[in-house]
Amino acid sequence: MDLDKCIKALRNAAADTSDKLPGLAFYLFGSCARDEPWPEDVDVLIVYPLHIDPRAVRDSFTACMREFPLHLFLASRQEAAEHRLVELQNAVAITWNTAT
Amino acid sequence: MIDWIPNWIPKKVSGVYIVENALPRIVFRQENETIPVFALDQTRVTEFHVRDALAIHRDLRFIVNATKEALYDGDALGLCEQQKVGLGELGELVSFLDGTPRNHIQRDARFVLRSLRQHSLVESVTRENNRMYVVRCRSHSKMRVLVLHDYLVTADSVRNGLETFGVPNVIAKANPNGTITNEAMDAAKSAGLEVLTWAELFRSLSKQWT
Repeated sequence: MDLDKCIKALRNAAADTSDKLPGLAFYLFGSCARDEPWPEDVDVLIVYPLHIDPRAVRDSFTACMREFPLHLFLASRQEAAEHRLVELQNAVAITWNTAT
Repeated sequence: MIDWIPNWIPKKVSGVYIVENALPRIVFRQENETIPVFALDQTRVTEFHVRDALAIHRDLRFIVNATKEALYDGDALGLCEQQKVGLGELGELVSFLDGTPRNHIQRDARFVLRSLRQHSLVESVTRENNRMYVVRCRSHSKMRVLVLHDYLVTADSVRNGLETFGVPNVIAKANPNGTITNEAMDAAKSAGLEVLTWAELFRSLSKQWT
């Protein structure tokens, strides 16, 4: 399983998307975030501000989704806050080094 | 880009081994059973793709599609059902390989079809695609239902569902857990629709839709 490779690709895709569409937050959740040994897919929560069209976010992940079994779940900031998505899903923030 | 599929078959899948990996064909073996699988990478899976796969491998057991959240035409699903061949994403292939007994219809679809077909007001249920169900009631009313399986139905679930799978008479949330956000309700309302829970969908069956 290429989980490390997948996480690396995910970080790159998140960084690229964030450059184009500032204000997004990216999280891993589900079996991958729980460190389960054999995840069938990689669940990614993307929280977007209302001025961003979620379709643009999906489009930005197309290449990454063709290489890895990513499942994107998009919620607006308000939806994420109202339903405490990050806390209740024990989602882990996807971060990357911006000092390049 | 389907090369990654065999790498993501979890080893927890009991006693299943990959014995051949020459994509688009992957062959698994479990005890004395051989399980040929055909791999696709399509945003929309049509009857043509299924016929093509069946023509190449007559003993085919499953067609796995590398593209997540793809659209599967009703004709493709119907042909697979008729031929008893599984069709779906990687997760569905894993469930198929690990299932006892193996079931070629996806778990989510089995739930939807079974629960609707068992309802006394329902005459028949067919699939227009993997998320759109056409329910014909005994009252001669017909409704197209977009079924979402998300734990939390968000505005994006609704908009993405409508764009990918088509415009229904009603949207229904099949997952009994979780909820529907206010923004999802608003997104549906702006399209002239509403999002119902599974129980609400059943209550709405007595309504004259078309």
